[in-house]
Amino acid sequence: MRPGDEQWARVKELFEAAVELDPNQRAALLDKECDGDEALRGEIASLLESDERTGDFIEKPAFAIPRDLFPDNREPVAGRKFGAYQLIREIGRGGLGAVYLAARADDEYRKEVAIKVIRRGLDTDDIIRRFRNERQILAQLDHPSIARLIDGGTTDDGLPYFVMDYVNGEPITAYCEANALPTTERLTLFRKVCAAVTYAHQNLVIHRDLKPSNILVTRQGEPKLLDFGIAKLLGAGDELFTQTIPALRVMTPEYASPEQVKGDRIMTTSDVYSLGVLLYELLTGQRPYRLKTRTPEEIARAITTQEPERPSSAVTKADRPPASILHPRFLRGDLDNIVLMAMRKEPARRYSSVGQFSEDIRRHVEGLPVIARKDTVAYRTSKFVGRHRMGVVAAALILLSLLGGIVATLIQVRTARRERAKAEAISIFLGRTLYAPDRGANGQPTVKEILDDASKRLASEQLADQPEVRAELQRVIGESYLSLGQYDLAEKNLTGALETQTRIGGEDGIAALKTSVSLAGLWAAAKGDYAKANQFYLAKLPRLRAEQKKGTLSADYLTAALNGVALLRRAQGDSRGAEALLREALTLLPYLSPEMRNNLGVAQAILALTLADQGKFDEAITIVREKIAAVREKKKEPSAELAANLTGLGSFLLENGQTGESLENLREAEGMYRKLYSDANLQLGDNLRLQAQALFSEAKNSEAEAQINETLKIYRAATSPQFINFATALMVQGLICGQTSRIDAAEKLLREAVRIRAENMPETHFLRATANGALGEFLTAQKRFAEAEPFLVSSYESLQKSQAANSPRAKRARQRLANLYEAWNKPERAAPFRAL
Amino acid sequence: MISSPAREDVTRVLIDWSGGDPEAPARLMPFVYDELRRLARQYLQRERPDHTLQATGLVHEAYLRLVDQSTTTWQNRAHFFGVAAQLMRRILVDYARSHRAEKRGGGWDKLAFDEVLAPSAERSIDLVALDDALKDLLALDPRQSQIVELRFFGGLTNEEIGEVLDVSPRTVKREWRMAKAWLRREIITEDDNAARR
Repeated sequence: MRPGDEQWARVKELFEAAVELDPNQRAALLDKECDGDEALRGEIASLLESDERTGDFIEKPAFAIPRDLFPDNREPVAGRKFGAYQLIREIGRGGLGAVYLAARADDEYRKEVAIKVIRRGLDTDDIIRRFRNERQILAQLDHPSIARLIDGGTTDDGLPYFVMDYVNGEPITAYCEANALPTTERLTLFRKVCAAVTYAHQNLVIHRDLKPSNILVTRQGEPKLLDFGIAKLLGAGDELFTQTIPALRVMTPEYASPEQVKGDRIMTTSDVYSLGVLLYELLTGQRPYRLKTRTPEEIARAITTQEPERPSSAVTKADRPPASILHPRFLRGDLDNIVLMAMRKEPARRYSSVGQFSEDIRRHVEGLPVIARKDTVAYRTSKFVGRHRMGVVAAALILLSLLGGIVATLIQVRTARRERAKAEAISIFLGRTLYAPDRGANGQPTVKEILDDASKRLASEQLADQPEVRAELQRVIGESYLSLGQYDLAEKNLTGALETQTRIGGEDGIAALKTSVSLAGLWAAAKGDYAKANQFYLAKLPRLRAEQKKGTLSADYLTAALNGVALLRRAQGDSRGAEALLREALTLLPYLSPEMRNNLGVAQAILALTLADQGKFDEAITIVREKIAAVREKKKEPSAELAANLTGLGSFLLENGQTGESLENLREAEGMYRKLYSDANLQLGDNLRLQAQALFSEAKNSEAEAQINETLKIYRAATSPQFINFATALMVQGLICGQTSRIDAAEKLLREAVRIRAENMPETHFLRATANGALGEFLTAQKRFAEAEPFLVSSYESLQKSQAANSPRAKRARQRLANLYEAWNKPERAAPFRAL
Repeated sequence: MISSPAREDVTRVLIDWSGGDPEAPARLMPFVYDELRRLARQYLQRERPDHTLQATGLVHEAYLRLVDQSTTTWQNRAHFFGVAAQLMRRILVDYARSHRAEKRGGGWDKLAFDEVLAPSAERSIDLVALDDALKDLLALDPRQSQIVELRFFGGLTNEEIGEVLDVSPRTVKREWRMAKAWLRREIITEDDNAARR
């Protein structure tokens, strides 16, 4: 009997229990547990019998090595035939295969070719797949500067091989030196290389391993690109949307881009980087990084963190400056900027394409202004993260980071047509949706319109026979809705995707796990459905960790999940637990996709720590200001990222008492949100709530009321009262009513806020304390001192425990108590709180 | 300890692997294969002909030679041994298979290594049958199959396997016992069926 999957667990359980028992007890156990299931009983009995007799069966992992276990790879090759070709000699040997010089065996013409064959012994499925990959890539490339695929086949003993142009040339750097090429000619040659790489990109191929030894120049001075051994077809990924494709050919790692070193997704801009390094070397005679030991770690660190010296300065230090290299002043300015722009650490800040890079060189040569500018913006986010590794987190900001991660997914969807697609169906589907040509020239569709259209077509499209693809699309659409604040639509699509994925791959399948992470994020951050989210996280967090460790789940998802759990822990008042989770999330930083890393979520989360626990508002404000300056520099037009930062700044300024400036920033962000999103969403709601708080502080009650009314309208439509900021909004509305003589309404609202907080949060949570404080303040104003006192005392005591002594929240609680006792005519009791 | 380019490379690939590189296993194999081959040759040249080299000892030695332990984590170690054990299995089974074809009936496939197998073993192990049975076990219980691969072909101890798979050595021991019983039964039955035929 071969037990099926579900039965296996049972067999295992009983076997393990029985094997521990004496033989006579075993029978009793099996009688009882198998309960007449003879097949099961027989299976276990036969396993137990086998167990009795295993002896040393496979116990000793020992074998002698037969002399011929490893066949000799270096057998003479000359004369061996591959199809119509006869080998002449070995000319190269890579990790996977050997390259031979060969010639056609017939007398017609003795054309020399290069033949690449997999090495015997390494013909594993994986490696054969990679090898065929290269062959397939070469087959679709036909360009004068790319070594051509001529033929292919399988040897008599089944090894695949392929035949390509034999390039008799030398590496581009050596060629330039040997011929003492002047700079302009180097640039011209380099632009020919760019043209070949652009051609490859247009054919959806990223080379990923551009370096001098792969770019040979013939005697005629023509460059030829070789070795697409680790190139990747943009459309041939295994896993959707999160795949990372690093490819560090480690012999010359200096040409690898930071994203390759870090194991992030490789894009066409990774080739831009490698070409930048090549140009650096061509112009200066030097590699860009100064390395002492050349260990992998040092190289990786240099590539990801070290700023290369400007070419104009490096050229003066070359040991052996190329005879023809120009005076540094010819490099200073344009060429410095062009090279360094191509080599920026963040892919998004490089030239967007090799064509643009090449074009900028042409403009420089022709004396036209170039695009490249001196890079003045430091990498603030990463530096910030380096500086602030402590802390807990504010919920609203966690929310931003969660949603930010999802925005990243949308960005990936946008590039889906070119960069992705397990299934062609996906590319076609999204291609049609996102690049639909029939959109009017005047009316750019909003993202929401695109998504609505996509989900409608998903329902009607012929994808019934590809449920996995369909579910994947549904997930992406769901996540995109989530990023737009369309929570119901998001939940609908995510739930739909999850059902299918669970049916196909089980709830622990990668696809289902990913969707669940987004869904739990939605529950925790937007819907306020903490119980549901908590249940998921408790059950699956270990699984997510394990999958990420194995490399089967991208760190983006684990990070999103950790952020979500931290949010929950904080909502439960467990800041320490939240802090530990965020620290764990921080350790994943190097593995995040650029989109996820660049979003301010992580930095913001840590900022919030500073805010919430240490009262270090000034520093927090400085950091957000820097971030805003960086975002503005990068992109002139309004963006969700900029709006989120402005809102964050507004909230810090508000808590720090700088209400006027807070309002300016909040209003600018509000304008952006209204422009970016056709419908109101939670982010706008939070922004308006902060505005209402600021206006209320400035005693502009009617303006404040208008804002808070719209806030609550948005909250009610988009989320539930459990949502962490909902009660805050009620408090603001209540306090406004209190100031404008609507006493009953005010009291009702404030008590409602206190009730919601008490129902959803532990007693120690600072948000309960602030609600109690607001109610106490109102009661004080009503001269109901005795009623106010317990609320204010409890608020004060709680905040004193959970907040830094000089934090504005703690100060405010003290002030409220002092005000109470003064109004109550008990100045002696007010004094200690004033003095503090 | 030598510092060879291969050492840098392997360490690098392992770090990439932890970073989520799906191609890392394929990139790692050539290095591990080369090192296993190099070590095997070295032994065969140096040792007396009657000295038995244990294939699985190779895996440990390859690890020491290829991986810079000061910069790698247990996760890297896990990946390395996973690949090495897989490769060793492939090499040995391929070898057995090709000799079975060559000397059908000659029993070469049972790798006549009786001297290193305990005398109580009922018969020497048919590696091809073991490989087939392991594939079946993989479908039923991936972890048990992996434990067998790491232990039998990779020469790892239960403690090491626990580290590699991130489970307790006790779990490894329990799973190992059942896997052994299951595999033995499958192989014997198959043999018997074959004999009857």
